[in-house]
Amino acid sequence: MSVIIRTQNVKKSFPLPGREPIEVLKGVDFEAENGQLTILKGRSGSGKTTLLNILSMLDEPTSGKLIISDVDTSSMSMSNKEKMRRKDIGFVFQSVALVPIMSAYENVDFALRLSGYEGDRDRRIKEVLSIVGLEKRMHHMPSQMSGGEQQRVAIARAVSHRPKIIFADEPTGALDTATGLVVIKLFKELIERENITIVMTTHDPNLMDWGDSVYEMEDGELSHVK
Amino acid sequence: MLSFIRHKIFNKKWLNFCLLTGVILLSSFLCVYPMFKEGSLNKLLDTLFTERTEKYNSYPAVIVEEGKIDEELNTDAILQKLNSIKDTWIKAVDIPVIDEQRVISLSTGYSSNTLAGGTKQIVFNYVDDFEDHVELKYGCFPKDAASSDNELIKEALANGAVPGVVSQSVADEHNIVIGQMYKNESIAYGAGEVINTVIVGIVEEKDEYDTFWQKRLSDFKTDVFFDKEGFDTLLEKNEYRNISYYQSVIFNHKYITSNNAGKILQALYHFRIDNENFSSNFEGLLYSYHETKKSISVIMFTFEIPIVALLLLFIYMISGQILEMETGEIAMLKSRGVSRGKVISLYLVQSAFITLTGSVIGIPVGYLFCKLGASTNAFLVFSFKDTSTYRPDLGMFLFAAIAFALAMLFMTIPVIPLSKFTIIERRSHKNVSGNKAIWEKFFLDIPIVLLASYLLYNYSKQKDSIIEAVINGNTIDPVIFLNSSIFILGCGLFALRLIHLLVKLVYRIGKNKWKPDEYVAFLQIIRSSKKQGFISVFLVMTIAMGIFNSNLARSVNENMELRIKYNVGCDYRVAEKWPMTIKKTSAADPGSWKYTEPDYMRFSGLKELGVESMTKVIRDDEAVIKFGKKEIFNCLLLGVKTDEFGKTVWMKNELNEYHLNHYLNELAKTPNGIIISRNLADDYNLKEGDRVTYGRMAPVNEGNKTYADANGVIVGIVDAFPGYETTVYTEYSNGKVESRSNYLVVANYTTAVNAFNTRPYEVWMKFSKRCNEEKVREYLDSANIRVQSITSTEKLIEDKRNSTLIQITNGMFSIGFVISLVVCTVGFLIYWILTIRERELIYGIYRSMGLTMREVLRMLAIEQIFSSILACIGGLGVGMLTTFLFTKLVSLVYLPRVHNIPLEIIFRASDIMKMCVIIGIMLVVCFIVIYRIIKKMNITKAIKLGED
Repeated sequence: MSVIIRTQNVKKSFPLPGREPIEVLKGVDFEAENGQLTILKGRSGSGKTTLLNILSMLDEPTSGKLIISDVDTSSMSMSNKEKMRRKDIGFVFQSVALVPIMSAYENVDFALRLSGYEGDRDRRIKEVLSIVGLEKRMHHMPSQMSGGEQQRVAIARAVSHRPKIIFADEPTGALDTATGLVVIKLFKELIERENITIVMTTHDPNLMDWGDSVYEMEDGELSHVK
Repeated sequence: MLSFIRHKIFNKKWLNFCLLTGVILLSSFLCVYPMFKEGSLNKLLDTLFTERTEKYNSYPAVIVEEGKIDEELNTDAILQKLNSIKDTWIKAVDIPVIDEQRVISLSTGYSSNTLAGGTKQIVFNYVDDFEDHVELKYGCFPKDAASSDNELIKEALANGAVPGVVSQSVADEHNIVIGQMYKNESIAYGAGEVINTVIVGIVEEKDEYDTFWQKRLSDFKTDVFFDKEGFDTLLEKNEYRNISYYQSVIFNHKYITSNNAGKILQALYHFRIDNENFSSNFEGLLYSYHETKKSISVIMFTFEIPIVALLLLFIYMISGQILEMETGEIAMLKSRGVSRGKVISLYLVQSAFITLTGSVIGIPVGYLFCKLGASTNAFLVFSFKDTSTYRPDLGMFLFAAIAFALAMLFMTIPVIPLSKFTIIERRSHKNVSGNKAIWEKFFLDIPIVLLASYLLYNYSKQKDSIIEAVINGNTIDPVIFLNSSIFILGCGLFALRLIHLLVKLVYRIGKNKWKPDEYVAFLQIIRSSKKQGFISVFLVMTIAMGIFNSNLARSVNENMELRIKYNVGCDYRVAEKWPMTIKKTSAADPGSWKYTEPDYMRFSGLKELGVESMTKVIRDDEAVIKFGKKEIFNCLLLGVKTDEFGKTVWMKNELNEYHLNHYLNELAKTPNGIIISRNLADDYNLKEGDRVTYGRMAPVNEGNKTYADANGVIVGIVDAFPGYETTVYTEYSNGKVESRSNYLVVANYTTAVNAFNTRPYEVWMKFSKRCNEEKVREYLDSANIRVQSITSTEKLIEDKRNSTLIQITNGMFSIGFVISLVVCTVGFLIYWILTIRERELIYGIYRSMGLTMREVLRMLAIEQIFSSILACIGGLGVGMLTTFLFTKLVSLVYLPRVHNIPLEIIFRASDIMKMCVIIGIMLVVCFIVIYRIIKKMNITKAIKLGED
């Protein structure tokens, strides 16, 4: 197994008007192996989402390095980062974040168009939607689906273009336990089928066993627990 | 509750500010109605009175009563009686009196003249306040006769003669001298005593502009004036028979306003009906005003409707937007058991607060709008002209109250359906609500277009009766105006339907090829058409109405100006007063007349002032054309110097088969040649080379006999000629108007002079750019040119621009456009800002998925192009279509008369450009605002927003 994503002494602080900046990440070293489910656990406000944002290049670290596929991202231009996000990264958010004006099919299609997917888009859309069990609801709009179904569409959208890494921020946060479990199982299945790496945050202790590697974040400091 | 409402209002301060703006605009636009209407009506009254004064050269608000007195009353008693009648008038009319005149007359038989012999019919008069208004030329007043040194007077007085005075003109006419005594034996049908009267003085009016002389001294043709004592003697001797009176009161017409005109008209009507001796010279004027008032009210009302509808739609939209954002709050209140009535009343109080504030602020804003409208010269052309007749009016408060009620209603309507649902019901309702707007779903645009088209077809068929009604001052059918707005609404909606279909088509054509930003943009337009539809309707309606109104205003204004220019024929026409002498051999002889031509060279100095060219033109509107024994009266004869005439006049070339110069050249070649009008040629089967006899009447009355005739060879037949109208209209005092064909004969100037003697001509002028009317007038004064009449194209155009109907149209269209543009800009900006804020999470997702900033902007640009810009183009198309279909029909209300220059639809690319620039600036500003919002957007924060 090779390390696909790694941070070295990553620090992140946010300026506060008239006060000392608040340090959210205090020199974090993190590694995720290729084709594994890596879980970041921690309480709310511990800094796990901030770390995930930095890992996914949605945010910049105040200091430290982020290396993805052996490339130091600090030297990458904004457009290269955007390119990488389009092609090599997939996102699953706690807020589900489907585009409300697009059906399940179109949401996935949008991700494929963004990544510049060169294969048969229609086949791929149907394929990923059937993986998440929604092939019969592909033309439904998000508002016509339950929370769990929407999250499954989000996962299908995230994996559709075969990214190297999927970042999932509390993907089960808004779901009941049973549905949350379905999502985790789906992640595992996708790792098997598509050989992708998933980094997800959660505060649900029941899901820790599913992770190949588990980190715990506490007050901006990260420790490797599994 | 109040602090909760305050919190709610401040929580959405920008939306509530928009709502307040909408209510202010609604209230102000409604408040414009009474103020603009009253101002326009007062202006109309002023114009009517001024026109009447100029036309008849007499004071325009005079009441007269003439009758007989069959009672045994002395002068004082008669005066008392007349005073009481006068007081009734003054009380009823209730405006200040400028002057009054009372004359008591005693008709006598023939009086024998003791000095010169012969008899004369003499009327004895007593004129109240006579001595204050006359100047004694010779002799003395009757009261001083006793102390006169004149032996003849002394003798006459000794013989019991009553002293009187005569006017200079009577003295001249009847060769009366002072001391002349008249002996009247046949007075009172021969039954009374013999009355001796003696002329002791000769008088003249003290001041020819004295308003006292309503019945002028020169109107008393065979009259002698006595003082009260003398007149009493005459009455008594005549046994109080044959007494008549004349009483007139001049009112100050400046005090007749739109507020009291109706009451005065009613009073005049009743006085006339109740008393056959009563007459007034302004009842007809007030009646015509009354009829025009009805039309003006109708027109103004129809101008208000579309803009008010647009404003109510705006209020409804913003209110709906606020409620959309508060849906959760409402549903939560409902879920917690708050009754529906309570929810509605909560919003009613909130609405009342905003609408009350808006309605009150709207009153002064309306005043400013009214002043702005009153200052227009054309559509969106503002000037600094006098707008003092437009004053605040109490009716503004009533209209502010109407605005309050309407705004309240439209702000509360959207609450009613929302207040039904609890949270759960709301969610399920949201899921089933469709993507299409009601009009789109039920195809409402189609019947609206069909209805407007049917009405247009129907009105076009009734064109003649519409023209007749307008010419005769009847009330205009408001639907003629409203129909264009209905058409714009229907067509606008239909255009939006087509735009939606077009977007869908474009999307489908490249469905598999679209890049991500294009893909999102198309889906966004297609899927949010219901929401976006509202703002698109605004855009389409504002642009279409703006274009139609601007084209209509331009067509009316320019057609009107073209017709005036054509009617006058050049820039400036001056007719000078020529001295005329008449030699008579007897009283029955009309006399031989001779005009003395003033020195024409005095006009030559005008060239230095910038008069480019000028020419003498003989113009006679009462010429006669003869075919054997058949004579056609009231034809127009023009005598022109062809070369100068061609250089001086203005003429629209397409009106005739050839250029005007062609006809003038033909005329120049043939000294006895004439150019005639096409209608004359058609009606009498005339062609070039035929001969026509034409004549002019003498300047002094010779009955229907022409002074002289000339025979001319037709060298040209024209449809139009400078200063000539094919159809002329005669207005009668009852307000009715009649038209008749007008025939034209144009002859060479010299031929006309030779045939009809030297007579006054007009001097027609063409101004260069550095010349103006003021300079010319000053010059005419300094050169001692006694002006008989002046016709100035510029002045006539200015007067017409200031005429009530044109002013209302330009003013209301301009105010309406400014308001709809403000509403459109605010609505558009708010819609987009809210949309972007609503989409913040989505943009965060797009950006997180790797959509670049450039792509996001491209996406927005595509959205703008396929929604806003297509809507603008749709508005432009609808506006132009409405222009072509409706302008001619609606213009008939302004220019109903048949004219040589047919009504043309006139539009300028610059007007459309002006509008496009304004809308373009609005779109660019919106785009910049949107760009700044998106640029400031933090992706991680935006995503976090979704979690919250």
